[in-house]
Amino acid sequence: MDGNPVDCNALGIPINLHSNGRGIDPAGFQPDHLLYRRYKKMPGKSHEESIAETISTKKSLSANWDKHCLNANDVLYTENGVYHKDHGIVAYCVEDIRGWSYVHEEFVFTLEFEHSPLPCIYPHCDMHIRCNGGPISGVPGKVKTVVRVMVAGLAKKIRDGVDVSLTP
Amino acid sequence: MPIYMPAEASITPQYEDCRLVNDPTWRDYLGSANFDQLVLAPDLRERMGNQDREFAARYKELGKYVDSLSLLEEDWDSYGGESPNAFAIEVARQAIDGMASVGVLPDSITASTDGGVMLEMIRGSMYYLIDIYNEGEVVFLQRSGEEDPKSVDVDINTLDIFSILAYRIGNGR
Repeated sequence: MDGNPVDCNALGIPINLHSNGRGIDPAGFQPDHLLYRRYKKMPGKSHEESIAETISTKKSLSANWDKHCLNANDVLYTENGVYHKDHGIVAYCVEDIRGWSYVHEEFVFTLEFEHSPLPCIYPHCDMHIRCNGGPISGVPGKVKTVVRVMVAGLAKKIRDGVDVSLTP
Repeated sequence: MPIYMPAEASITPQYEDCRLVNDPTWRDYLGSANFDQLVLAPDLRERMGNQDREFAARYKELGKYVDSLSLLEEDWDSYGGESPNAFAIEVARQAIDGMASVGVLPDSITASTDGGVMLEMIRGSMYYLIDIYNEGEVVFLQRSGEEDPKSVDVDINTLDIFSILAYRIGNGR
């Protein structure tokens, strides 16, 4: 789509989210800025206790920078134009992300994030869990699980999701 | 693996030769716990007796739910999440059976974006998680309040996890 706003319109994505050729916001993040993520609520799943299932150690964690959102619900849109109206939303505070680290034996885990605008989702950011400054590899599952639970614990719930069926 | 154990069945004998007592990994994990008291609290048996039907219904429901996880497709979470594979689903089934045999059931079961199945329980201020990775690792994690979580690997051939669950929950810890 190459940032063409017409394509984004065709996908039904609100105009405030279109990049319109804009690059990375040079102003950077302030400590009180938020990164929104959506999550799918499974039947019988408590919202309150854990959202660790949404945390991946293998992939970057997509999020939306609140500075460029009209409101948190903007994160319910994907770059393909799908609107996940039933999903819940959580927010990570930049200050919390920057201040977080976890040390386990020779492993030092940290969180990094960057503004990485998509053609139709300008607020899009990528958050990464890093191990010794690089990608997570060779880390035992028992350590990854702790890290996922701790990272999940940084999130603040913004809104509940609705139980969704697993079957089509 | 045993499935649901009727209220009159004896639970304790399963733990008379429990590996937990002699396993240094578990011993370290439990710290100064009194291993001589590795039995279920009496009130747990009573609760099982009073809640047989409810318990059995919940057990069935969870089993069906785990089976339904096999229907998840890639990107089920809209963030590119991996769907649970046959290994993770089978171990989750075994875990539910094993937990039922000691009178407990998970509060929630879900797929993990990292690829696998997660079984979670809250008891008082304690959070318990059995994290089953598609790659074959099984992890037991517990967290109390604001403390950092602690985790150990679970040997799926012995599923020691149920010993520790019975101990923890039976002793109200």
